[in-house]
Amino acid sequence: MNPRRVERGRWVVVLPIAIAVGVPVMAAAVLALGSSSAVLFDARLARLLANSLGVSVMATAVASVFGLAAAWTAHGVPRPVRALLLSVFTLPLLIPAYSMTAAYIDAAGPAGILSRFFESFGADVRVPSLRGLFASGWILGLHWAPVVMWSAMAGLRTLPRESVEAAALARGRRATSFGVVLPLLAPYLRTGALLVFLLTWPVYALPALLQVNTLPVESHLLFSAFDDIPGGIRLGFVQAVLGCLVAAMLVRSFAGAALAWAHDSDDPARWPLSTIPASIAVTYGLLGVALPLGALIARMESFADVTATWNNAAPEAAASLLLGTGIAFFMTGFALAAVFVSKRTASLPFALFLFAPFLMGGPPLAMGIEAVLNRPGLPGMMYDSSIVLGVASFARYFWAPYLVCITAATTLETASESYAWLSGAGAWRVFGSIFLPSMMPATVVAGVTAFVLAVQDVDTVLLIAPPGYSTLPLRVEGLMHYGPDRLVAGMSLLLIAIQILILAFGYLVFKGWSARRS
Amino acid sequence: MPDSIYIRFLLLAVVMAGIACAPAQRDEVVVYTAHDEFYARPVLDAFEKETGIRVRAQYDTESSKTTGLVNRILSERNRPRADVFWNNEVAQTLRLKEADALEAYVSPNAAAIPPAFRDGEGYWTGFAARARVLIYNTELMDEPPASIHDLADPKWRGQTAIALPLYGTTATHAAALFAHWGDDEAKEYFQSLVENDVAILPGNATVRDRVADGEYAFGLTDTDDANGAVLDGRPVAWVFPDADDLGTLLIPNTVSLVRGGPHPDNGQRLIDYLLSAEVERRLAESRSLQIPLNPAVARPEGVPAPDAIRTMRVSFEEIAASFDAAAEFVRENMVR
Repeated sequence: MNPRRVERGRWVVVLPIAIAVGVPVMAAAVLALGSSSAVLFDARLARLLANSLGVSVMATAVASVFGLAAAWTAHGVPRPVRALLLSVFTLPLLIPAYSMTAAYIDAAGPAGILSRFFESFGADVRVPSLRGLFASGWILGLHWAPVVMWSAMAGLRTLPRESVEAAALARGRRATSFGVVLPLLAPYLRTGALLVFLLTWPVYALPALLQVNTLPVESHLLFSAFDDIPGGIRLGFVQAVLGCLVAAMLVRSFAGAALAWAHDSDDPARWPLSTIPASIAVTYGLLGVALPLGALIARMESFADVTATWNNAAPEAAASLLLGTGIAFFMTGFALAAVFVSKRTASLPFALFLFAPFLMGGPPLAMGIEAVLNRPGLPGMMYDSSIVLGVASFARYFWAPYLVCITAATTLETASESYAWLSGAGAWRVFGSIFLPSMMPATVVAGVTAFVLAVQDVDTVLLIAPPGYSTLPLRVEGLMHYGPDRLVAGMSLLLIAIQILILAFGYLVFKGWSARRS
Repeated sequence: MPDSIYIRFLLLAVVMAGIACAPAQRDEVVVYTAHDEFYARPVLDAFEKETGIRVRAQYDTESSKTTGLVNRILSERNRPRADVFWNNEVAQTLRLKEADALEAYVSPNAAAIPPAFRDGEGYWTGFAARARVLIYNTELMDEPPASIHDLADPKWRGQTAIALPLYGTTATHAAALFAHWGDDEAKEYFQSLVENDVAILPGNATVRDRVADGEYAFGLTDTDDANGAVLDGRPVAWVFPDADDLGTLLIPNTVSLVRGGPHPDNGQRLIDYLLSAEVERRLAESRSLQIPLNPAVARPEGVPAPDAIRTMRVSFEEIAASFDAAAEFVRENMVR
C-alpha cells in the first residue's frame, strides 16, 4: 500500500497526463459535432473498413510468421550469435515503413534492381508495380515483425526445461514443437500479434503512399481535400472505437507476457535449430533487412552523396534527435511517475483512455490539438514552435512507455519499498533509490520504445508542424511522392543511424545497471 | 529544500511555461507555399539573403498539395500563422478570397503582369505559369497523343495515367473542364477515363515517373514535371494537348497576403520580391520551365510565350466556382 503522501501526490502526476492525452481528444470530439457533408455509415465505410482490416491482418500475419521464426532461430543458437541475430532482426524496426517502401520501390519496381537483374539475363520479366493492400501489409509486417520476435523471445525464455525435454523424448521434437512449445508460447505470440495489429491500424502515411484507401487515408482526405474536419474526425472516432476492442484484448494479454520480466531464467529449455524456422528467418533477414538497407545504401553512389545529404538535412536530423529524445525523456519520466503513484496494476479504462489518441489516427488528433493550442488567448509559442509537436507525440504515444512500465511494475516485489516508507523515507528517496533501480530494464525499454515511435512519426506532425520546422520523417514523406532518390535514401539512413545511436546508448545504460547489480 | 513533490513539479511547470511564452522573432515572414520545395527554396533563400528577413516556409505535402495547405490556412483563421500564400495554381487562391482569408495588396511589381492574370480587387497576382501537358514515352509511342480525349481511347486502355484530381493542378484542370463543358459532359468524360482503366496516381511527379519507366504509354502532368524528365534523359517527350480545339490550360502561380498574418509588412516585401522580373527569370531558367507572364522578362530557349499557346477559354472565377462539384464527383467515382 502506498503511503498517503504519494496518494495525495497522485493528482500532480496523473492530472498533466490526463490533460495532455484527454483534452485534444475532447476538442476533437467537439469538432466532430460540426456539420459534415460526408455520410458516415454507407457502403464506402464498409470498403474502408475492409481495406483497413486487410492491411492490419496482413501485416499481423507477416509479422507473426517472421517474428516467430526469427525468435525460434535466435533461441536455438549459442549466446554470442544470439545477440548478433537479435540485433540484426531488430533492424527493420528502425527502418521507417515509408523508407522501407522507398527501398522496395527502388528494388522491386518496374525500373528497379530486380527488373534490371532479369533484363541482364535477357528475360522479359516485368515486376509489377508495388502498390495496394498486399504491399502495404507486407511492408508493415516486415517493419513490425521484431515486436512479435521479442514477445516470442520473452516466452521462449520461460519454457520449463524439464517438461519440454521430457516431452521431446517421449513424442519427438516436431510433435513437441506443435503440441507443447507453441501452446506455451501462445500468450506471448498473441500479445505480439495484437500489438502489431494496433500499431498498423491507425497508420496513414504508408497506405497513402501505396494507394490503399483505408480509414486513416480517407480521414486525411476529408481534411485536406474537402475541409471537412468534422467528417474526418468522426471517421477517426469510428477507427478508435474499433481499435479499442483490440486494445482491451492487448492489455489483458500483456499482463500474461509480463511474467517473463521476473522470470530471469538462466537455463530455459533450449530448442535446437530446425530447417523451416531457420529458412523463414533467413528469408526475413534478406527481405526485411538486406533488401531495404541494401537498396537505400546503393542509392548513395559516392561519399559526395553522403555529405550532400548531411548538408541538406542536418537541421532536420538535429530536430528529429532533439525532439525524439526530449519526448522520450518526458514520456518515460511521466510513465514511471504514474506507475509509482498508482496501485501497480493495469487499469483497463485508463489504458483505453491512453490508447484513444493513438487509435483515432494522426490527422484527427492533430485537428484536436490545433483547436486547443491555436487560440488567440494562448501564447503563440504553444502552437508555433516544436512544443506543439511534443504535445502531439506525448498524446499519441504515451500509452507505449506506460504499458511497458505498468506491466513491469506488476512483477516487482514491494517489500523494500514498504520498509523504506515505514522507516520514514521521503517519496523522492524511495523513487530514486528503490523504485527506479528495480525498474531500470523497463525504463530502458520504455525510453527506447518511446523514442523510436516519436522519432519516426509523420502522421501526427504532418498537419501541425510549424512553418520552417521540419523533421527527417517529414522531409522523407514529402519527397517520397517524387519517388525514391538519393536524398530520400540518405535521410532514411540518417534516421536509422540516429536510432541506432540511441539504442546503443540505452544498451550501455542497461549493461551498466546489470554490472552494478551483479 | 523541503522534500516535496509539489514544489518540484511546480518549478518544472514554471520553467516550461516560461519557454512557451518566449516572444517570437520579429524580423521574419511566414510563407505557405504549394510550389515544389525543390524550386521554391532557392527563391526564398535568395530573398532571405537579400533582405535579412528570416523566411519560415511551410511547404505542402505531396499527399495533399495545395488543397491541404489551403485548408490549413482556413482552419487557422482564428489566429493565422501565415503572412503570404504562394500558390502554384489559382483556383484555391480564389477559394481563399471567397472565404475572406486574404488581404488586398497591390504590389508595385504587379503592374507588369497582364490583367488576365491578376485579381481586379488586388487580392492575388499571378506570375510564372505552367501548362497542363501530355507526357508520353517515346519508346512506346511512335506518334505523340494529341488530346486529353486520347486518355479515354480504348486503344490505350490501361496504359494511361493521371494524378488524382482532388489536389493541385489536376484538381484545377478537372474544375476547368467542369466549367468549360458543363457538369454533364465533364462527368461523362471522367467516367470514360475510369472505364478505360486510366491509372489514378498520387501526383503529377508519379505520372511522370511511371510514364518514363514505361509502365504507362502517356499521361497528364505539368510542364515542370515533364521538362524535368526530359532533362534527366528519360525516354519521354511532351506536347500541349488540344492545340486545334479545347486548348491547353495555363495555370499561373499566384501570390497573396493572408488576412491577419503576424508580419504584414514583411509579407508585402516578399510579395514584391516574388513578383519581380528576377524571380520570373529564375523560374523560367530552372528545370521547372515556368512561363514568364511579365512580357519584359527574357524567355530562355524552349520557353514559349503565353500567347503562343492555344489556351483553354475559361476564366479563373468560373474554375473556382466549379471546384466543389468536380471534387465531389471525383471522390465518389475515382477514389477507390
